Amino acid sequence: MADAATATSTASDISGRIAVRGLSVRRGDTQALRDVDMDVAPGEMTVLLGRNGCGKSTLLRAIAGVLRPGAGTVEIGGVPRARLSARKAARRLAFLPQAPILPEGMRVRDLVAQGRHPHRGLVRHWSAADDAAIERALRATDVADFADRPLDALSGGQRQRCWIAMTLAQETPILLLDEPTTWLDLAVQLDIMRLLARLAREGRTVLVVLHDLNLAAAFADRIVMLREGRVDARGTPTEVMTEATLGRVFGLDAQVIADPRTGRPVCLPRIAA
Amino acid sequence: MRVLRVSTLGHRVALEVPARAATALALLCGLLLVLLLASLGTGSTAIGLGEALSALAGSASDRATLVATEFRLPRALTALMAGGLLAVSGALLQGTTRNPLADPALVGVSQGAGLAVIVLVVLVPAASDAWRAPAAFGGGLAVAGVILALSGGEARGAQVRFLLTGIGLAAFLAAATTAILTYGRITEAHEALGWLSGSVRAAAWDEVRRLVLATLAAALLCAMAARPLAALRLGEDVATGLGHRVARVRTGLLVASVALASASVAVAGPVTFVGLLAPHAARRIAPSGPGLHLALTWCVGAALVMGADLAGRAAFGTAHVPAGLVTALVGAPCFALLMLRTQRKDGS
Repeated sequence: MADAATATSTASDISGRIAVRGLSVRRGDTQALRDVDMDVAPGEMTVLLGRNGCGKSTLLRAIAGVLRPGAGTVEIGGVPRARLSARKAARRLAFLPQAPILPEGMRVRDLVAQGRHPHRGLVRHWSAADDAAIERALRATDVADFADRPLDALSGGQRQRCWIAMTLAQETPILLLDEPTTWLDLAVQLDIMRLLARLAREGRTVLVVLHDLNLAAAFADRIVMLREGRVDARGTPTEVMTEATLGRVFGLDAQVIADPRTGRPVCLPRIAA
Repeated sequence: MRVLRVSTLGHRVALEVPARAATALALLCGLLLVLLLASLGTGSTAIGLGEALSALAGSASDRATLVATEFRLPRALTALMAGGLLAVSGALLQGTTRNPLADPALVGVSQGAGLAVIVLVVLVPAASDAWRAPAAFGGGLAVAGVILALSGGEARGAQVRFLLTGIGLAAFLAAATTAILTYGRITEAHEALGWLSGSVRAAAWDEVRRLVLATLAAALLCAMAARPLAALRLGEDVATGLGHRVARVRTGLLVASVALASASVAVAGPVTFVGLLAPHAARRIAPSGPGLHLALTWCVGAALVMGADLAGRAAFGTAHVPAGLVTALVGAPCFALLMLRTQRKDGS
């Protein structure tokens, strides 16, 4: 893993940078994103937060290329996304959507192997590099032990690790994940977040949409909060997680205290009895 | 799951093949050979397999040679390839619409192709048979376009809407076809009727040649479709993330599916349920990646139509039952079972 990490971090300064400028996206009759500017740096985990329908998933999906922006640009490593071919883009950023579809009876290894798509072509079929990338991804996510088992036989947390392994096999400097912890037990959520934090420390750009404020505060290097399609607040968890912003962005009446062990902010909603 | 690894050219070309799927493929090829031999040895004239084989080798009576080389062999080969094409067409349609119940003959693509051919046969009786395939392709494409336009959108229920729109369209096209037939002259109408029920009875070497070309094209398309299909199985968003241009891929797969169905329909008429059942049967026989699945599907479809034609000839004496009717008799109950299974899965 060490050599892979250095390889990523030397290249990361150029290729792992995301720059969003003036991005607007319409979805049906509503303006899902309005004039969004955002920079995401390599070696960090950036978390997108906001209420349901605030546009955080839309922003992630526009960066991933699933949605087309109405206006504005997304630059990946200094190159406008629109100028990258689909395959080239897929070698720079890997995207894990919310609740992806799992084909019946598929083996873990076969799923992870799908991550090699952008590195293969009609003629160029399979190589030792592909095998090595898959092995690395399986080990990095701790799923190597059940690589030959069908995914339907695994727990929710194990399955999510396998999906992350697929995106790792893509060997991109950037990882985009849309609510990777939803529906999982709390212990498993922490597990997944630790994994993502480690991947960021190794030099990757990790951009995640989360729902859980405290999970975000505990793990994020940077938080971007969206409200009604605009960026409302950005900064480190301590900068952003204030009673004022929580009230404005989430309509939440909450007290923010510091975790006595880590010093990170923790949000305690005031529950009127 | 056991896996066979084949690699040549110093690892430049390596294939990982699930052992069960590879065995199944070999067994299916054996079954196809058996069916082919049985088809050669069965018919209304009393010429057995031995005589038919020696006729093919060029050492039998003129009559036996005529029956074996001009009737039975082209007929069997037509059934084989028409079935294979329909089956692969169904698999591509199911893959691109992500609808496990999609079938070119169920959603009206085959009927659209059929209507176009009927219009050609009835209105332009002088037209060469070679025009049937392009006409069928045009008809099929038009139907595919209409279904997509009517059932479009990514909203919930799009799958059901796609299917219902297609079934409605198929019924409408069948009615239109009947209407046109009543206007046609009796000889053309009679010929067209036999063809419409899905028959390979009148197949000759011209048809075989056209199907060979279509089958070669299908093999090429399948090789190109395997990777995008693998990605699409994980959903559109994942496929996009993996670097596939989903909109373009889906259109391409849809056009390919219509083209293969049309090539089959132009020769054998709209044989139903093969495109629906073969991909499912192939999946049940042996789980595998899309490439091998397409190969298995082709074999199952070929076996289904060749078997149906054989059963239609052998089981009912001199009254030849067209292959399309046999597949419909077998297929309709299987379709009902599949519907129930899908519903149960959605419900759970």
